[in-house]
Amino acid sequence: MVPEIYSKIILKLNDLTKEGKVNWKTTSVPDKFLVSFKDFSLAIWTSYDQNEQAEFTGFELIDPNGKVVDRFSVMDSNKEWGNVTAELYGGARRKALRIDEAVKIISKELGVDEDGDDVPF
Amino acid sequence: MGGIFDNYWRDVLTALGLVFTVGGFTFSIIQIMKTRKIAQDAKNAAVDAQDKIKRNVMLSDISSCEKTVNEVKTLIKDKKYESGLLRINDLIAQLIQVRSFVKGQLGEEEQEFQDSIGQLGIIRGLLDGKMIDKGKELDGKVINETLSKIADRLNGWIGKSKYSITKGA
Repeated sequence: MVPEIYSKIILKLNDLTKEGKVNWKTTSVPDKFLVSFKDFSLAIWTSYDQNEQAEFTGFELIDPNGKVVDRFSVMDSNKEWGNVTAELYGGARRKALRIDEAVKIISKELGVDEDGDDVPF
Repeated sequence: MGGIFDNYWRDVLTALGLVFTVGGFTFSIIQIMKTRKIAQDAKNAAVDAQDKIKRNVMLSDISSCEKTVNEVKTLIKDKKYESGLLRINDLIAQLIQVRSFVKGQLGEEEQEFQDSIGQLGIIRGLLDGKMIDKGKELDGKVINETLSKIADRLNGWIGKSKYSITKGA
């Protein structure tokens, strides 16, 4: 469950991430991505909860001193938030690893049109 | 006649007195304005000198941060994680100090500072975890890649001499 104080932020962040407007960055942890604002950073990652036997998306709030001051996680199976946070994680990952950009370039070089066919060889 | 003469000279003296008073007043105003300008110039020069000192100290601090990043990279490479953790803490403190110099005067760089500190915070978390669980695997290569990016950013800041402090700040 997303804590109430974060709910609007998560929704807005998800919308802006979908529009490619959030500058997510890779970190030293392969599946953890970071976005920074003026005084705070927000990290997002995904993992598997052995007890629940399900995937979850985790969040950490990092203060201006580099300390994690808050963290929460949302099970992907959560009906209200699971889809949103999983989608946000996917968007953050694609942006940080420049996956959409790579797909666009490859599609252009292959001559794939918007319908996804028409490979020129 | 003597009375009229006396009055005449008295008027002349009064007029002369008035002229000297007005002249003296004008002279005083001009002197005050000159003094104010000299004081203002001196203040501006002092502020400029202070800014230059601040800027040089800050560039020196950024350079010191960059050296610390390279030290941490060597420590991680040599798997000296405990020493690496101590130096990461030093590095974060150094960056916080540099940021305090330029707080409120940066644009996008505010986010870059925070990103560097956030990235270092994540590395600190990894090293902290390693201290608790010695058997935990750490990917030194990935950590050092992140540290290299931070070092590049620091070099960029030094190279571009981006942070000229605003006058009077």
